[in-house]
Parts: sequence; C-alpha cells; structure tokens
Amino acid sequence: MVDVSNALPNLPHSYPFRFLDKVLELEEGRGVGIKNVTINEPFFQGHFKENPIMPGILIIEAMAQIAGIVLHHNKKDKTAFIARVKDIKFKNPVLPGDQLKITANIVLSLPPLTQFAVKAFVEDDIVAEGEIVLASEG
Amino acid sequence: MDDIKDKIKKMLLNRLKLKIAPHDIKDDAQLFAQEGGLGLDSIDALELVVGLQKEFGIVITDKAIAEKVLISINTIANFIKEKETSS
Repeated sequence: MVDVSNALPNLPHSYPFRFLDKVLELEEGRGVGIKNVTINEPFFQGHFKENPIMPGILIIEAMAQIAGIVLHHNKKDKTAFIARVKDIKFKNPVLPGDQLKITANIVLSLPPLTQFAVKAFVEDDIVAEGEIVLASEG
Repeated sequence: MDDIKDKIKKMLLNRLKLKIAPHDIKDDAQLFAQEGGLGLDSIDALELVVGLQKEFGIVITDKAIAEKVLISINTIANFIKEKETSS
C-alpha cells in the first residue's frame, strides 16, 4: 500500500477540471478514488436545469483521473492522456448528494499504453463500468 | 497449425470489430501496414496482447517482444507454438 496523502496533489488536473476529491487506496496496479457530487457543481446548471444528472462523460473523466494516479503515482511531472474509452456502460444516474467511489485496475501495460478496468459505485451499486486506455508521456 | 491461425484470426476480428471474414486475412499479411496490410494501430496492438493473454494464456509485457510477435498471423502463430513447446 502506498501513502495516499501525496497522491492527489500529483494529479496534473486542477480547478475546474479535477473530478476526484480523495484517494482512498493506492497500490501497484490499482487504486480507489472518491468524488463527492454536490448540487453546486457548475455542470448541474445545464445538465439538466430541472433534472440534475452528472454527465456520463465526466464520470469517464473521473475514472481516467484515478487511472492516471495509479499509472503515475510516484512520478510527479508526468501526464497521461486518454487513448481509448471502451465499452463503458452507465447503469444508474449519478445525482446531487451522491458519493462516487471509483476503482481502476490495470489489465495490461505495454508502454506507452496501459489498459484499465474501471468501475464507479454509489454506495454498493455500480453506476458505470468499462475499460479505459491511457497513453503516458515519456 | 492452421487451427491456431484460424483461432488467432477469429480473436483478432472479434476484438478489433473488423468487418471482414477470417479467410480474407492472409497468413503473411502485415498487421500494421496501411497498404496491403490490415492497417492496425498501437491501440489495436494493446487489444491483441490482451486477447492473446485471455484466449491463449500468452503473456507479453515487453514492447520489444510485442513488436517481434505482432507482425503477421504467421509470427503470432509461431510464437504461440514456441510457448507451447517450451512449457
């Protein structure tokens, strides 16, 4: 198990594009992150005005961010980019007040590409799952 | 040997969602060549390595080995044969 207290500051994303609040677990090849979804999120102003639902594309972004931390947790100045989003299913809407728990597990790494199995939960229910491929710099 | 090649072709078509038939792929066609080959890219290569691991039990973690193995159906089949006889 890696010290998680330094993991989030190493994430290259910053406001307003950080979709992780906390890293719960981090070890070789896998990690777990938390995103607290509040009614004040800017995207809820338009998605949708009378019916706030977290955009699926931003759930994918949160998945990619925890995957990036798993890939580069001890390499501060490296950035990874999404190379592929594969077979992501959205099973339930994510609403204001939900806490997203996101897991990312390395399926296979063949530098510079790494494939992850990713899942997002609200409480114990899977809200989204699939696979993401990240391309890492350097 | 032809059985293995057919199995590789089916795995490749399924995983990469190519809209051609197994017999349309020549055993010596270059997987990554745009002209006269299948025109695959590095993301397809990663998917093939995942497929080789899940469907043939062949583990490749080294990019140099992947580049030697993923040239054509023939080179993949030879690599699988080698692994089978050495284990």
